[in-house]
Amino acid sequence: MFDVEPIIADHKDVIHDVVFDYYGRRMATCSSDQTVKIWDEDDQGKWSVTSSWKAHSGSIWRVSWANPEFGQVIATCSFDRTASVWEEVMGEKWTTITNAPTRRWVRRTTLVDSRTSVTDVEFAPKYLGLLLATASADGIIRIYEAPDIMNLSQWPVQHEIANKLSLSCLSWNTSTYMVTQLLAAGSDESATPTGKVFLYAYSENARKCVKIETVTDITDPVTDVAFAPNAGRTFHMLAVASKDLYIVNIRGVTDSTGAGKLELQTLKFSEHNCPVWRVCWNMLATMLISTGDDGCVRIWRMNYTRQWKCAAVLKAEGSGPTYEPNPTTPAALATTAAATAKFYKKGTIGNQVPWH
Amino acid sequence: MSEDTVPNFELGDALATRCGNTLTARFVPGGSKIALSAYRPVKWSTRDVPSETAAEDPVLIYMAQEATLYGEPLLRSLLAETNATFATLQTLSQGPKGDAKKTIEYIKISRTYRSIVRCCLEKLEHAKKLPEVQENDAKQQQHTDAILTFYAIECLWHLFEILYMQQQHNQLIVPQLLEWTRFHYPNTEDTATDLLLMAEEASECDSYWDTLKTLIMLGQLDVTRAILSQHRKFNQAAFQTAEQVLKSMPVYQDGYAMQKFCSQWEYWHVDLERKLAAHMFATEPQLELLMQLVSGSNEHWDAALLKSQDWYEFLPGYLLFTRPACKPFELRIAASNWVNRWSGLRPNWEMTQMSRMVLQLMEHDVKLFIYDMQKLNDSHWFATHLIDLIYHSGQLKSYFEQQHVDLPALRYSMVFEYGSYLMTSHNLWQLGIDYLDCCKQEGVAAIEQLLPRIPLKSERQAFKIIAMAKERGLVNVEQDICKVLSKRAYSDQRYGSALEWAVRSKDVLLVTAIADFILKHYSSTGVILCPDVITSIGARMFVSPRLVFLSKYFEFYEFYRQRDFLSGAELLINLLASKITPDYFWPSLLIDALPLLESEDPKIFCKETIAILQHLEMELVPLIERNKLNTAKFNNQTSKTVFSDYRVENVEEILDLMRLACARNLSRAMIIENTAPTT
Repeated sequence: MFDVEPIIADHKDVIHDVVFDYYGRRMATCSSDQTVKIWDEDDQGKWSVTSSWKAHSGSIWRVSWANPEFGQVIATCSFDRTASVWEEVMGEKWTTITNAPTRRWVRRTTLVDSRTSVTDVEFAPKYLGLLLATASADGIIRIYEAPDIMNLSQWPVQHEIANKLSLSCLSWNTSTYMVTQLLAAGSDESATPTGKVFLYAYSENARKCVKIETVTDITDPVTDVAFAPNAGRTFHMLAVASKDLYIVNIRGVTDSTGAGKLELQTLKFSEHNCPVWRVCWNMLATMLISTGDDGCVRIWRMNYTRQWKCAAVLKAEGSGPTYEPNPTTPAALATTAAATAKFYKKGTIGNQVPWH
Repeated sequence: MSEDTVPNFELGDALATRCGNTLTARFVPGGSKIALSAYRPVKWSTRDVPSETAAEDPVLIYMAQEATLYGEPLLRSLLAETNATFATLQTLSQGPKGDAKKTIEYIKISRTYRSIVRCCLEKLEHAKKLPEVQENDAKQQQHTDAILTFYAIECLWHLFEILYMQQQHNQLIVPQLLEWTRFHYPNTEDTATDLLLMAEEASECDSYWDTLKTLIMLGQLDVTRAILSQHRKFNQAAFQTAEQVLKSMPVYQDGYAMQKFCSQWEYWHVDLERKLAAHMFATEPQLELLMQLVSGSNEHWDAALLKSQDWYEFLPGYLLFTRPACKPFELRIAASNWVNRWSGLRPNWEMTQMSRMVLQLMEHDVKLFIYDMQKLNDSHWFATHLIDLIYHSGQLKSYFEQQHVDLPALRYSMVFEYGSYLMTSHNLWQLGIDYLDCCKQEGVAAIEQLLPRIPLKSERQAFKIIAMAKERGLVNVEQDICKVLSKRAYSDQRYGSALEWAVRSKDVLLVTAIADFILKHYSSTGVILCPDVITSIGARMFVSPRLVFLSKYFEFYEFYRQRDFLSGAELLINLLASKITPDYFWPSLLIDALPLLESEDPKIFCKETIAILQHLEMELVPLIERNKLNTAKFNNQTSKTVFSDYRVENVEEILDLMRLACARNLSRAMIIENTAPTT
């Protein structure tokens, strides 16, 4: 059972991305109305807007938070062919009520290298420093670096990787197990029947980032990719939103010549029965959310035998939170012993009277 | 898993319904929340125009959170206490397995868990009656929910303990089941106590016979006899016979031969039926009814069953009068027969989850029981602790093997899930960490992921988290936290704190960056930002050469302030020669030498003066040249501000001033040095 609390977002149009900071106490939203809003959660769990500004001159696709050790920094990317980096700074003005300094978000830089829509932006895992990757419709991945973490106005391009297909999304791998600086990107190109998910990594020999693998099993247009956070696994997991939901398991192996290479295993989940738009992992990668065109958000859980099972479905339609649990049938047991949905309505324990 | 078993949840968002019914969701880090919002699939190739429905429906974000019981402080203490018991169990199981003594230990653990629950229930009942809870509907509901859930948990755990944890050599379970129902249906006992206190008058009480009937059905013969013996007509034959029947009912005692017991019981039973057939109780119809129940008469039990609250309430009592030597494997059949009979009497009866789970335990369907257990709203408290106990005690090992359930994996995943649940719950993280500690590498990795994500509300909390990380050798976590706090202090303009945390993090880049900031601030304003922190750094300065420079420069600054010019001059010369001076600081450092050089009474010797001159020409001059070039090349950059000192307007002035001062000091020093001291 969920306790649901609606928040009026006050955006004038559909929200494209809702992203939380490292602690989950701040939220950034961006929309077709070309604005970005920053929200803060107070100690009572109430969310309120603390900043809102027009950030671009086109729809804003995505937002990304930098790790808090670099301060309060976000990046945005837009239809207007640019990506921007924003930092929260203390204002000169002091509010008279709380006697606390006012804070505001200032634009640190605008990255104008792309000639087409910048479709995704994401800060790299912090072990790489303050790095930012962008994907754009012209098929180029650009990796920018801020060399001076105290001065975020300089963002020279560090790598530029060109692809033949337009790109719609990218994701950094936060784990360094076996492969470092691993990055995945997806293409929503629908004309060619080739693989649509690409993996890139830093090559010592070439001294730059290069494409190292294409996931050939996925040939339908891809709209989102997400690497799972790695909590002690010996392989990497990449969730892919395409015609179906996919989870790609990536293992680093060393072949007989001692050279490292990647072994890919693609799992397909067709429960949505229609295209999947978005994917999102939880902190320990024990749960996955997929957004489908069937009007459903599915929550997937890994059960104790490490199989992924759909554990709950959330629907857009309906009259509100009126869900009642279905009585479970024993037939369902075999596969779900531990994958049981946590999202049940409060226990249907009988009309017991305690003994007191 | 078939589609219909997946729980569905309907949100009903107008905007989402309008744009093709599409909804998207994200996990909120640091908890179990999910943020939902309407979604409109757009491609980069579509035209970027406001959507047709813009501004028609409100744009909403929904924060969905699983309902939890643990907001209540009383339940938090339950979690803390069970955490301690869990730890005890883990240490206990480290010894050799299969020890008979250990079985007793495991039962003790099981009882400890149960007594924690009972204790908590008592407190909850008490708290529920408090006025502040009575007045607050939400709080009252919370208490009711918690009581309902944990009451059921205790009841089921108790039954589990009776049926699966003990190894009785005789395997007689009826007495224990009677104990179980007695405990969970205490109302009758309360009325019985009242009747006993009323003594003789009791028999006039309206509820007298009803209470006695229930007592018999609960198998409480001693109390029944005590109440009967207070009856006014107790001296009459019928009562005397009844008393004799109840008194003489054979009770199994340890060491008795089972065969002998059975035949004795059989004899007693036949004797009772004979007495009933002979209408020995006919003068007292109510008493006769009691005796019919004692004889196990189906017709009379069926009539009485209609009043019972749940199917299992009178099963143990019935077994006492029909199959007193019932063994666990016979219970399976008895229970399913009983539930059929019970539901047969109530055509509209629907089994509650609790009733079903009791049946599962009695029918030895532990697998289903474990499945249903996870559907309680206790955030898997029960499932985790019981499965962990089952795993350690090893009692059901072969059962799970037969059922193809990988018990170690199940237990592992439960403990891991529960631990990470607690770790991501507000204020419960310290309890969760102990569970994750039992999960090997994945547990450590989870701690490493979750620990730095705990919001750092105060320095005290930060120290606590750092201590936890240190205990587990998670160096990265400590560093991460220090870096975050340093950066936070820096943006709040608390530079002392920023430097302190940066040094703690041992991150060279960060320490250098902050030291740079302090030095630059000094050279543009003449103010040292956090003197106390710099003084206290001591040997930790070696993290970064820049910090060494800052500390040493500060030392010089202090000498100078205290007018200890000789020590100051010596240190300054050392600094100039140290090769750790950052470029931007050369002007300041050289200007600092000016007053010392210009002093009437020379503070700097000949040789050192020449060295200063050398630094001036070899370091500062080329720097100025390079800076000029850069400024010319990138005129958009403001390198001028970087390369300056608050005491001079133009860097180049320093050159002239310094050359002059050096020359003058050189002359003075030469004269003094080359003059023989007058004795």
